[in-house]
Amino acid sequence: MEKEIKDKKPPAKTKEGIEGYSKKLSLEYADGKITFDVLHQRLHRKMTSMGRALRAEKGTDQEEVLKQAYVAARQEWLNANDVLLGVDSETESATTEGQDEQYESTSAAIEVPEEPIAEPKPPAQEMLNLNPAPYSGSIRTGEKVKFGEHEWRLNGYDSKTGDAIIQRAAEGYSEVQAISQEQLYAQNQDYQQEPANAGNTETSPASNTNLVLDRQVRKEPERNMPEPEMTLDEIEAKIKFAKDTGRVPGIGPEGLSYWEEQKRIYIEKQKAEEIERRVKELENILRQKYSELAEAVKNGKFAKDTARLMETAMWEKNVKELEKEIKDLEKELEKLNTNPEGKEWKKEVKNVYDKAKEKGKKVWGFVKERAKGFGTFGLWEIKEAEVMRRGTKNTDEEIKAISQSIQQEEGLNEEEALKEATDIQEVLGRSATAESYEQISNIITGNKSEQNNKIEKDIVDYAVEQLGKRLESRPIIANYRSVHGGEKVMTQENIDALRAELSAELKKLRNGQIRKDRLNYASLMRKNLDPKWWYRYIYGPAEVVLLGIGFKFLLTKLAAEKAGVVAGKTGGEKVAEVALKDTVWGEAKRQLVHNGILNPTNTQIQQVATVMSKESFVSVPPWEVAGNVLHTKMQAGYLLKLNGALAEIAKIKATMLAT
Amino acid sequence: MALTETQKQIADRIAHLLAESPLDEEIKKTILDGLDKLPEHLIFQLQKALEGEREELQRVALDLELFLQDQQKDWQKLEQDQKDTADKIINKHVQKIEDDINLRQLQEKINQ
Repeated sequence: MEKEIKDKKPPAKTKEGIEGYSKKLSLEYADGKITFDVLHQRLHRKMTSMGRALRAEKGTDQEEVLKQAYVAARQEWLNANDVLLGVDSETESATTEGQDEQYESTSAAIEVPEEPIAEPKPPAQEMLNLNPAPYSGSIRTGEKVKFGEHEWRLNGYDSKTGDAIIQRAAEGYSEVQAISQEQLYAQNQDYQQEPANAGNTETSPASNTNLVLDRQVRKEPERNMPEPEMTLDEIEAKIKFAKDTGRVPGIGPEGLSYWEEQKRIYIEKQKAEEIERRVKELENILRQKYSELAEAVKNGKFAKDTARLMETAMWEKNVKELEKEIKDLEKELEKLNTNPEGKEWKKEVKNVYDKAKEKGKKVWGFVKERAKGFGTFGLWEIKEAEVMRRGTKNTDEEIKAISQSIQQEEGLNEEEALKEATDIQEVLGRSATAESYEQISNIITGNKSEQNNKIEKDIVDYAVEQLGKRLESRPIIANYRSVHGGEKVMTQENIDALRAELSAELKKLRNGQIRKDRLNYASLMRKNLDPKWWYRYIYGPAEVVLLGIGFKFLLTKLAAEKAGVVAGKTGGEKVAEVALKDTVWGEAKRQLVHNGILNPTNTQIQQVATVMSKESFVSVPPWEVAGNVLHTKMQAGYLLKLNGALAEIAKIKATMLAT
Repeated sequence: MALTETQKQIADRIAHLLAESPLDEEIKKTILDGLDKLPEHLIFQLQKALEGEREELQRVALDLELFLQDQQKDWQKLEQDQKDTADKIINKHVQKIEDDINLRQLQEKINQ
């Protein structure tokens, strides 16, 4: 059996921003061929380690190892809902510049299986169950697919496993969309090439129908947590392997120098994490000490008020000790939170950032372009969307308005239109008005609807022409015309009737497609841009950083300097002001939001508004704030002073941090 | 103190990730301006968050691309469906006209 493993480099240029570790792996045999794209480094890595484990365990030949490793890795990957595998050799895949550095060679898994296994894991025995277990046709997320060894033939994919893989691959990117059996098979025809001698030749149309139906009703998958990073042991094993095999870059980035660098980075991170743990520990102790101090002060005051001299002295001593302890702890904390190389970090990052900025824009331009109008990218936008979602819970009226618009435009019944309107609201995560409905549809369908409108006109004109031609070709009509001196049988009335019926039917079809697009897009957005998921796993950690910069440092220190200190120190030299737009309350809320408290409570708003009013000489009788101008009589443009308000916001944040 | 090679490498990675990130420019500026005040453990945290964002956006980009590919196919299929529908409607109208003529001829015969 001849086999050839081709390892093609991906194209260097990106295809409008689609990114990923894309690599064509083509296995060619005497009578078959499998070509697939390895779309992600992790799949690739998984496959490599599976290959090694299998090699160690089973000592099978390379071909078998490769096939089994690929299936196991692929299945595991698919179970994690993490990737769509491009299985069509014709499917274009792309990568971006700069991806090469992370490019791993699949051939590594095949050619050099002697690499030591860092942490011997069970060799996916469960997944590679050797007992043939027919594919049931309804794999759920998290379930394992069992492959019978004897079913593994030349090109690796008998109909059953092919079905399973196709199904899961399709699930990975579109849960609701009903892809026809034909489409699925057309997209994956490589897998359908069965060897003549394959034991199982059932393509089971019935089970395939089930697949499609099953997918239509399946719930969207749960998202998985990002994969943990490599352990030190794993890195060490890589280093050992690179040393043992004299590995050099060329097989991939896994040369000795690469892994040694990874180790250094790992150690650096470990050190940083250790500091982080200590910081948290100190913060907890400090919190406890603050509480003890408050208690001691309270008790001391009580003892003093009740003239208990001994107790007073004891509490005073206690307070002093606690104050000293707190001071020491704060010093230590301050030291840990100081980065001696901070300036160098800043300089280096800024320098490279400026150069990389333009490139960055290009990379995500495509995504942002397609997702525009949904405004879900970026931390603040996501959080804003959440705020808006909460703020627009009662949008029944809007939903009704949109639903009426849908009913009119698409000829749906009330119930269907209402459901669709609710879907749109849900996807947007914010208020969609009836006016913006058309705009939203356009964003989703691109210019396709417009193009189709033109096509429709052509089809109608063509139909009128065809009507005449077909009538002429009918013997009965030809006979009639000859008898009646060439009388026209195609009247204007006939033409109008044809046009009217045709236009209505074509429009109905188009509206169906628009609706399908919208639902598919809704599903896509819901799956990919779930704000809660993003916040929890992506922006949650980012916000900790921003808290570090924006709250702990910039605000409690810098902003305090800017606001409070600037006001005091400079004696009004540089006073922050803002022109009144609506109300002091509104401005206080805006300032809170602008400074990172995205969902301020009424108490927080009042706290800031009170300070702002006092500082700006605005009289607010309900809050007992005296001033020159009554808050209800203020003119737009009145200059509100912000220094005190900003300092107040900094305090609120500091309190939030401490709780 | 100058950065080590490893630190430099991490700094460069953060710079690239930040430049690519679709985060609001104001936030990026805040991060860049505040980097010198950021303890090292939070620098790593930042890198982790940005890596996560990038990976997720890759997934979104891929899904969007697939959506667009499917959409393209759907609209092409729609066009074909519309043509097929038109064909059926034309035939229906031809038949109707033919039926009318038949009827008319029948009436003419009766009248004769």
